[in-house]
Amino acid sequence: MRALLVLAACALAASLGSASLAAGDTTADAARLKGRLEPDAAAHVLAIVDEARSAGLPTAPLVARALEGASQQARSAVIVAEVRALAASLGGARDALGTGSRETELVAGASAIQAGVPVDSLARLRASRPGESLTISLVVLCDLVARGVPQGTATGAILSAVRAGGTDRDLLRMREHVHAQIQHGQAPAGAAQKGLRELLERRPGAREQAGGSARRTP
Amino acid sequence: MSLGRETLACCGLFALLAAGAARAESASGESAAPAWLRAPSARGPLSSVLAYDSRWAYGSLAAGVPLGARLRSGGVSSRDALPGFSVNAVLSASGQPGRVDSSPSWLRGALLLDRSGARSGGWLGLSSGEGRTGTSEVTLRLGLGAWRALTPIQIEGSVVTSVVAFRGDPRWSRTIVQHVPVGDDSSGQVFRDSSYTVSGDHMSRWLSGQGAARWQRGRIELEASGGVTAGEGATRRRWAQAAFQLQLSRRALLLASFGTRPAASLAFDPAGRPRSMIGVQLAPWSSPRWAMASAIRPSMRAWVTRRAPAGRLAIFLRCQDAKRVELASDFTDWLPTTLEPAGGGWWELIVPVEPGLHRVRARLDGGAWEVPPGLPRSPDEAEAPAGVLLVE
Repeated sequence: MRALLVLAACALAASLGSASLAAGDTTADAARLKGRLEPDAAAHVLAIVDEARSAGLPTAPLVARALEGASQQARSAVIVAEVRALAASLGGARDALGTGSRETELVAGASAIQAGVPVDSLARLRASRPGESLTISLVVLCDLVARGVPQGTATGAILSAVRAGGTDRDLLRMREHVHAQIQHGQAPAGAAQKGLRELLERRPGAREQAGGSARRTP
Repeated sequence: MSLGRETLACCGLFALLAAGAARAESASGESAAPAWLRAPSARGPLSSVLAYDSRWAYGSLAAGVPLGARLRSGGVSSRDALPGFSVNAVLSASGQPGRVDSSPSWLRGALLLDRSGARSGGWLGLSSGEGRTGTSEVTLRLGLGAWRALTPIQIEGSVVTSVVAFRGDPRWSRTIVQHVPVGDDSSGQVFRDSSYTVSGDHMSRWLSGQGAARWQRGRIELEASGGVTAGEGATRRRWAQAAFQLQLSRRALLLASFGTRPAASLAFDPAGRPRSMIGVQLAPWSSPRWAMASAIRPSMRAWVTRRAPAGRLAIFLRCQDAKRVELASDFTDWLPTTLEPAGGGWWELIVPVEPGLHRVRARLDGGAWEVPPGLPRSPDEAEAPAGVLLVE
């Protein structure tokens, strides 16, 4: 009985602490948004952020997206809509990639969803590489779409590369090949297919090839 | 020697040209005036040329000062407003090391009144002479010119009147005969004719007419010019020159020419080339409007990040021809943050950054926001894509 009481007290303290932390986060977010957004828009954004926090989603990207919109002098309605869409995409990414996914995976996954990548493609990507980070795969996928590769082609190329055991370094190298091909005038879809072919031909020796220009921070 | 008629004629013609330029002007847009005419305001106060021709290596310095803000027709002063009148002073010096005083044209000064529209304009100039050559000395030049832009060709025509003083020239020597009394005889005083020659001093006018056509594309300009000079005491001289310019950077211009240009043609253009030559013109304080510098766009070349102590990130961005580099990201709350020059074209920013996936944009000289080089793009912004930076 005593043990039960202690446990309950701990749970209460933890929940109070958590609520206190959440309140602190909300205050900090409000301070960042103050002066950058109109009061109504800021209130809407904070409500979305609180909702996302309650759902266990990362909230920093939501506040950042609101500030980004403010810096581009977007209308308040557009900013709120963008933040709401990003929150929904983050939720979709978590559903597809799993609750244990890293924050960077969720952010990259949300970006992929906003680029038109189907949620089930993210789930297949996760299934192809269980337990490993999908951040780079998703970043490369988004980059290919941003450079004009049709979403279906880009998704197929990344899935094929991951299923073939392509590492993050391989994917980044493929991205650079595709970029170079596009710059030389090749159609983006053809460039992506050629990039994938090169990656598959290099496998399995690609792991040993060093010197890729991964844009990571050491 | 009077310059009255020439001066009146030049002023009259200039007024006509200025009126023509005023009709052709556009309310906005940059003037397409010849680079040499825009030099004092666009190239900066000082430029130098290091060159080699078939005779020697030589150098020259040109200093130009825009004396008056551009005055619009309504009399409202505005530096940015085009077109309008402007007054420029130009001083140039040139010579070969150790032989500066041997060149007759080593120091020159000119005053230019320029009326430039968007596509046409005219100028009136007064230039000091360039010293004595043989028995002749040019003391003053009065020039008048007009230009017209027919993109991508530009044509220019000008007339220069030179006041020339001949000193001790035998062509104008005079024989003076005097009756000198040598004594008396029975018939009276005796005279003898005595004659002597006075070497002649004489003032004259030379007239030079010239035309030029220029073609410009990107960083390259080709020019063909030619003219004729005639006047009392001078043999008629025709000349032609082809010139090439390549804008190497905002501050450096590669020059090459084939053929000659007489001093009258160079009186108002200190960067002009008297002979076949190859050289480099450097203008350390030039603006992007100088010569073909506007063809040079600042660009980002490389991006490197490195973890710094205390949770900070050192960001290095290598840029070419940039004077200001700014970065905006979620880790700056999307507020533009200026990078500091770090030498060798690199710009640096050290800023606290949490691990995670970040969106980044950069811009040069206040231009459009761009994805830093080498970073993957985020696809959700069609108009201003962002770069994606993974910080671990």
